[in-house]
Amino acid sequence: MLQCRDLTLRYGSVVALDGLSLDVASGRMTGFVGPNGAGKTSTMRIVLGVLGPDSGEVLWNGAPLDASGRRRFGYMPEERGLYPKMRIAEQLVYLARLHGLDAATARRSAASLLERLGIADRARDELESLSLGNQQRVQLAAALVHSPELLVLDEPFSGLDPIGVDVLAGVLREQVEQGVPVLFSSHQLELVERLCDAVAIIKDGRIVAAGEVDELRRRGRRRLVRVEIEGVLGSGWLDGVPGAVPVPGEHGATLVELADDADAQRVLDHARAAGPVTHFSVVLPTLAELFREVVGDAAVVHA
Amino acid sequence: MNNASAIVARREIIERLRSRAFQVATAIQLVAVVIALVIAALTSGGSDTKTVALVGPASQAYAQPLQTAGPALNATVVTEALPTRAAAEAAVRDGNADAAVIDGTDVIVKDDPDDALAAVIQATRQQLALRDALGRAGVPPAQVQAAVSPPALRVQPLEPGKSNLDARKGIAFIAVLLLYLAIFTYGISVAGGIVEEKSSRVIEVVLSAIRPRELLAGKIVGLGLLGVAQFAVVIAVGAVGGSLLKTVDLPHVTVGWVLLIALWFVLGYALYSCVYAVAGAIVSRQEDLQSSTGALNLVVVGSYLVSFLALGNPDGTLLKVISFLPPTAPMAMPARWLVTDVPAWQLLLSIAITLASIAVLVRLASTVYARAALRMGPKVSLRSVLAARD
Repeated sequence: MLQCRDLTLRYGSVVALDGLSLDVASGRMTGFVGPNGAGKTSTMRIVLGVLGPDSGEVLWNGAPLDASGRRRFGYMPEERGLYPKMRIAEQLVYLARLHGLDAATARRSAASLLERLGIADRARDELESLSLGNQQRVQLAAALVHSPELLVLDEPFSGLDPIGVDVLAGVLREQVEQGVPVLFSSHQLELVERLCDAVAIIKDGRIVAAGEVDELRRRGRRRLVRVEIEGVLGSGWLDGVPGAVPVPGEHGATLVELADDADAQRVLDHARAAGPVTHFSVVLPTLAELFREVVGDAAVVHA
Repeated sequence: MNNASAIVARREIIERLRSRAFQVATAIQLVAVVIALVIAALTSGGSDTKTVALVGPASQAYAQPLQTAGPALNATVVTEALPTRAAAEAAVRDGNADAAVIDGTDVIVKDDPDDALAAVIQATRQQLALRDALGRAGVPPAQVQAAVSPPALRVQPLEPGKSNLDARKGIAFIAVLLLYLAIFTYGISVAGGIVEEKSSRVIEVVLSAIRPRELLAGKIVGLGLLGVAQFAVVIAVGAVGGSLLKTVDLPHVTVGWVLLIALWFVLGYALYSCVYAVAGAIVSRQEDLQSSTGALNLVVVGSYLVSFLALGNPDGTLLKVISFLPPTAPMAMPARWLVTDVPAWQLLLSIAITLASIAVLVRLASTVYARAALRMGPKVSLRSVLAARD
């Protein structure tokens, strides 16, 4: 369990982090989303100890984090980078040893990771001789080679093709199942919604929404119902229901946005009066919609 | 030096040994040493044996005195009887003989009438004439022998240290050049290695595992060890090759001198590598390295040139002063030590001053490096790095 408490960070007059608090629970995949410049990378760098915060602290399993604790974390920075002219296997062994593994364990771990990622036959090649896709696999291996207790990845999915996304998602899921907390940032909100158990939305150096993905979606302020009536197209039947407004969008169905005081049952009554109702459901906002909602204004949502 | 730094140092050494550039540079250095030795052997060697052709019975008396005069010429003199003047001339012309004595009256040399060998032959002629005169006057042969070949005088040099001044100067020039090249090359390597990690962005991955100080220490120590090893190989090849070819008078190059030069390489490298680390840390691209190391390169080259020039006057004030100044001491002090007698306290003082400077520069370098290592983009000004918070 990782906890960031009231982190602040300034670069000159620019406030990068403004009292940020964030939890990453064990056995949970947590997505970290927010606009560019909101402070995602700064937060991750502070967690990894690459940067020091102006104030605030990072706790690991309840205790303040020190260098030897951080050494057991795995990190994939946004700016990918390894030694271009170093042989892949040696590179992984080197990084594993810097993280505190002994030489024999490091060699075993590097070999088995390369095997799992399907690049064992390139183990003795220099990194720069590999395709970009394979270089990204090596980068992932570099974050995993020392069997980290926490995994932090900055935009790990950017630039991956769909197969690469699946491979990475599978590997991260595996880590989560082993109880490793995983935190990754991404702009691909559909992906975050699909993969993550929890999400934290950051804006201007503060967390503006955080919690279980489903819970957050349920807590979204926008209420939508989806109605399908046999033989009826258009939304004329809605006239006279207070607080219900049709939303353009779906073919063959009507999406209705409800105001806070509107009653969904009245919508259903009107629908049944118009014809046989074949579908009636509450539509949860997608993460993308939720994101636009909380990032668009200063509201703070906590599940 | 902790475990993390040792792992970093090991990587630096292995990767550098593997790099083609390093292999080529080492090969070039070794070839240069061998070529220098061969040239020295060709220019100074081959004069160890002088052959004198003797024509006619009157010349035969020269054989024994000439052979004993060898040491004065720094050579072994061999005599050879030839039947005719024409044969002797041909032998001298072809280089088979260095000089010829004809009937005890004429001397033939190839081109230089003031040839040292000719002078020795003249002296031999006087010696022979004296012996004949004494013999005719009835002096017993033993006394004649004692008169013409008295026991050698004992020579007592007043300033024995000044002997071989030229040889010592030569060694000092070579030592200064080697120190300059090694400090320069390895200093640049430190700066280049740091920028390589920044430009490839691997720095952030590494710094998520270890501290900047550990990474910097490992890099500097690794490259330094490699430098000492390369230095040792070049000197060993030079010394062994020199003794095989008999071109360098080896007694002059004592083990102590080699160790002293190696010590000053370590000191000079430690001093300059810290400054080069700063120059590397404040830029993110190899292209910017030129501008950030420019001033520093001038200091290194300038220190070399000043030391080189000051060596011309080994007891001058200039050499004395610069052998204590931190930028020049690593080259000037060993050079001074090689050419003249430096009081031990001066050597120790110079080492102490250099060590103190290194201590200051290590702190500067690790501070700047820790703060600037993750700053990407254009060159960072040193002032802004030092003004930044911890």
